[in-house]
Amino acid sequence: MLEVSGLVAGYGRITILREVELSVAEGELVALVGVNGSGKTTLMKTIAGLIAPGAGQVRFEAAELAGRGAERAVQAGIVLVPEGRMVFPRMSVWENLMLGGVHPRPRPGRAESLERVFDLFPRLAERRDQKAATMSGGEQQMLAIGRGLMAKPKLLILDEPSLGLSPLMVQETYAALRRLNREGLTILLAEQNVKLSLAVSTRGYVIENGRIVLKGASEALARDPATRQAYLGHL
Amino acid sequence: MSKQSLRAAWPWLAFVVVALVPLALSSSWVNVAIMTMLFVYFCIAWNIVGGIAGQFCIGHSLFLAAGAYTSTLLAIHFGLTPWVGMFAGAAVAAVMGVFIAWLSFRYALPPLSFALATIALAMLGYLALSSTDFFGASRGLTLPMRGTPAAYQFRNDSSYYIVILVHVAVALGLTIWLYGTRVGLYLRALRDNERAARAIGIPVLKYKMLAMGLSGALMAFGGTFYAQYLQYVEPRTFANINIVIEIILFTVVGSVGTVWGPVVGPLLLVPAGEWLRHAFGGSVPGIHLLIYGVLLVVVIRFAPDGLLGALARARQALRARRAEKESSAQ
Amino acid sequence: MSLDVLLQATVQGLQMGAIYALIALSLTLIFSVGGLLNFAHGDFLALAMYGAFALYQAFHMDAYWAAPLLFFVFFALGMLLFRRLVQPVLEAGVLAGAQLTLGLVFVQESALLAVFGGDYLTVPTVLSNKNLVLPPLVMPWTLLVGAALAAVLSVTLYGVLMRTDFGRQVRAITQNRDAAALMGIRIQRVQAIAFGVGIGLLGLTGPVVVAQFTLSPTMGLDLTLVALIVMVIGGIGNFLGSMVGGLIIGVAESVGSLLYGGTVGAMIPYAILVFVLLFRPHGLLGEH
Repeated sequence: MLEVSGLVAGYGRITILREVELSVAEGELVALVGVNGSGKTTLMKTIAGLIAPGAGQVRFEAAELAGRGAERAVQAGIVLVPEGRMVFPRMSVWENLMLGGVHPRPRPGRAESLERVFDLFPRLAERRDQKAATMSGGEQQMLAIGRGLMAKPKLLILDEPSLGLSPLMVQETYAALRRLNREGLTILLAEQNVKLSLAVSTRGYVIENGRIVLKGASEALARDPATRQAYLGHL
Repeated sequence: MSKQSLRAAWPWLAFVVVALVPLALSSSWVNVAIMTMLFVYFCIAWNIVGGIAGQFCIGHSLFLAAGAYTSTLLAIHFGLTPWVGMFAGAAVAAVMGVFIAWLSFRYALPPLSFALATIALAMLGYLALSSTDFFGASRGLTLPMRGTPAAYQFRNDSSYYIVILVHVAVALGLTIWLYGTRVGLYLRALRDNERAARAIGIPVLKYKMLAMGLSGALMAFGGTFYAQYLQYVEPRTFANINIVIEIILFTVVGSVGTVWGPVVGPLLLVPAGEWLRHAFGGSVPGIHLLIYGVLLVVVIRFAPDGLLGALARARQALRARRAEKESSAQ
Repeated sequence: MSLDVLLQATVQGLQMGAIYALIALSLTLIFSVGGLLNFAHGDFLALAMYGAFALYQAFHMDAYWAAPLLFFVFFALGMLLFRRLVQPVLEAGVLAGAQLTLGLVFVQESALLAVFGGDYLTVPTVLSNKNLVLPPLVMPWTLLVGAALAAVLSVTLYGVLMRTDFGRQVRAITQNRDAAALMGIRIQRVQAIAFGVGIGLLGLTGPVVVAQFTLSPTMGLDLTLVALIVMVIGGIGNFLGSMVGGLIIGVAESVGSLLYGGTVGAMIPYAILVFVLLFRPHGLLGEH
């Protein structure tokens, strides 16, 4: 479904990603793990069209998306829930969700999408008219995911969804992701929280200094001595 | 002479040649030359704050008016020669500049708010001058006729031209000196990132006050000169922000924040404007200003970093192409 | 001084304030989508007023009929200017954008001078020289209608910004540009439309309020300054604030001139501006 090859990208003259290869098949939940500054966010942003790569391909279904912009990615069905959630602070929950589905492709089905999101996160329904800035971090994360779902993604990309959340909220967020994946949504998950993300995913990639250094079935990666040493500490 | 010092000297040589040409021309063109150099001077003065220190100040008409009105009032009421009065004017302007810098720092004005605050202060100054009888209200003040160089009054325009040339040379020297010293380095650091400048221990307030004070004082000297040249002061010419808008545009077209940008901008544009007025002004009033304005906008559209910026980019591209050619020839 | 005179001044101030509010609202709209401080704002308004004058001269078209026509002309002009001129310069930074609009001030003022000359002009409308007398108040119909239309337009624009998809996209870009892009919002397109609407509104406002002004080529900068003051007082980027700020400035100017004379009246808005910038940087209404 998603085929990333030879991707080189960065900011200005600084190159961050070096020849990244990554693929996601339909129905998968794939994890991309790596420490802070390893290039996860740059990769996610490049796939979502926020950054134009210097070289390489981002192929999604039949379309070539590299350097074609975020609008084109949404049109194709790639939706990124960004790091730090980035909800619109001075707008209500409802307005945030409406904006999630504002693109012409998902717009016709906004009412049904809204129902689905409220079904997945009943708390958002309760807080419908509350300003996003006044909500807790966990609720904002739910809103960010809900807003992403409003765009009717074929591939949902999440960048550090567990960042800054309480353990309980992390559990809740991951439960929602698992449910979405079970219902057929393809998910690419970038996480620092290696243990958790490898536990929910089927396959995983390990990124280091802008390069994919390991890949494989999540279970195997979690057991791999190299991963364990680098990311899980000595257990 | 080494190659390096030759490179540093050539803009000066070019400037001196260009500056001396008008002395050989007819008197109507000396007039244009004086206005050109006056705007070169104003642009250099504004550039210290607006370019080097990166504070988008639109209130420089305050300083200009401070210089013009102070020296003129001292001449009218105390018979003081503007040669001395201009220093009083510069002092008034410097104090105002330092105060504005302090105010904007004390209340942590973001760049945009600083620009707006300086507009507001300039408008307050303009309205106060044009409604107070002591300042001649909207009619302005006329300088007492003395007609002697000692009273800063000359019979021929060439003398005025030489005086403004000296002003320009001093201001240019000051700018170049600023660039070379720690002060200039700090000012540019403050322009690029004020928070970072503060974090590495640059006393931001001190240097902001210095820049505004210096720039204000230079503006004021220009104000006195302008008053002496016209032999009167009047709020619409001396205190209106329109003149500041022109100064900013000239500097932008040249290149903001460079040494020679504020020289190049007015040097090209003021004579161009005069030429357009001669060529088209007679047919339809204002048409020359229109052509002129469109020219300005076109330059900003295609070279937002000014003519010197565009020139530097073109040279870099040329050098890159030449290097490419050389490497492919090998 | 009688209370009646004060009342008259207040009502008149509120009416001018409604007009100021609309001008500031369109300035705020343009500012909020791209950070562009449009110094040529008042000059576009002046251009629209001269447009009404020209249409009256040429076709005896009444200003109230010219208004909708000029809306579409100015909307198209705004879109075109944004695409071809403003947007490329804005990419070099918001300061370059502001400097560009200073250049536009120059172009428009000299164009008006070249075409219409420097004389003061007035535009008669069907309502000129007619007053509504509601003792003790006497209100010129032109001002009343201008203010009422301005109020209706302001409320409509506010409604559009708060209640429609277009308005939500505008606010989304203001609040978080990257996130807006991730929603698939075409930022440059929304910016161009917002700029077009902002300039278009000036095309509409100019003829409607033309009876309140004496036309001169350099009138634009003063109008820009009023709009800037109102925008700052309302809190930069705050649409509701711009509307309330307009009323405040209108009344302050009108009552101020009555109590202290014309010059002090004219100084009051600038004094308020300095005060707000220093002590209430988020506007009179804004939270800290």
